[in-house]
Amino acid sequence: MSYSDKVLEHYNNPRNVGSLDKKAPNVGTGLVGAPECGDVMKLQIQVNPETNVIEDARFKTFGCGSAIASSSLATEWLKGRSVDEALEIKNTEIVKELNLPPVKIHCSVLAEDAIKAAVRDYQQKQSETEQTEEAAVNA
Amino acid sequence: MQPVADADYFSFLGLSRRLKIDNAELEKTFYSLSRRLHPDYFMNASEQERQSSIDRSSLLNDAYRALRNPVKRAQYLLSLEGYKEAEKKAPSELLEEVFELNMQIEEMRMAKKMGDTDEMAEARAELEDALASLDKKLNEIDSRLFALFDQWDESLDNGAGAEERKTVLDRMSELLSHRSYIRNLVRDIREEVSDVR
Ligand code: FES
Repeated sequence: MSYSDKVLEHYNNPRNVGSLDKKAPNVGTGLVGAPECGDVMKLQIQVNPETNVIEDARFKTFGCGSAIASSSLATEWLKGRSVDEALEIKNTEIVKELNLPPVKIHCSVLAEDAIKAAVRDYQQKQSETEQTEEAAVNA
Repeated sequence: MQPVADADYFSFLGLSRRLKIDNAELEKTFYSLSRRLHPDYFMNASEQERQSSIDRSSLLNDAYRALRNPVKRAQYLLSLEGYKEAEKKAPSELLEEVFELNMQIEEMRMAKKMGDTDEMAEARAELEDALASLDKKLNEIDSRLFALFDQWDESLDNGAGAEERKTVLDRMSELLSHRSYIRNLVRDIREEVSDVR
């Protein structure tokens, strides 16, 4: 099977590889995997808590070229979006942009799942800090 | 014989959907059916009959391959019962572990590329430790899987309700998904530590 030019481009020149501080309150981390192939993908977002806008996004994927390209593309799309807008990214858009063949659709699903997991993690951290802040105010 | 199109592997081989299968029995069934479907018997048959015998022998081969191996058999049963492997979410500790070990594999590759023998020896030792513990995990998973096989067969034998059967299948599907992460990891690590260049 041959990869599309766009997949190759991201594969050879992945954007935003790396990691952010997992413990930071304004960083959300999503770690997801696909059991069929054993591939794993970690995607992180750094959010400005005032504006809810994603300022930075990083990924590290151990997997096929399509999974790497999907996560690389996802980090590009995430930057500058609000958290709510991030949740609107659908795997079908990734499939379209990267020209993924049907057998590689699950790789793009992985990227969508990773985005959702990262946002969920961020939101959970936010609500926890809010609670502790409230507790501090009420104390 | 039933039409090829709607036969599942179990019923095609005249079996119930039990998971404990005597492989010697299975082999016997396979050979006797193969003989009956042998093209020599269909030399003077109509085109249609000949085609149908060819279809059936390829179905027979697929069925045998899928049912002979216990893990594949369980996977096949799950697919028959409407499960998709990918739907199962792995627990985060497992994903963390898979991720970490992949990082180590990457370090090993890097060390190899740089020809850094100290780093290489260190990375190799770590990966070998990991391999030993993963092998142990795999064994544990397999014995749990086989215990579930028994439970499944019992549930068929005593006509258990759909609810109870679903619980068994859910657990099986979860275990198989864990197993598949670990198997892939073991494969990759093995490849990395065995390659001595
Ligand atoms: S083949 Fe596993 S994510 Fe692409």
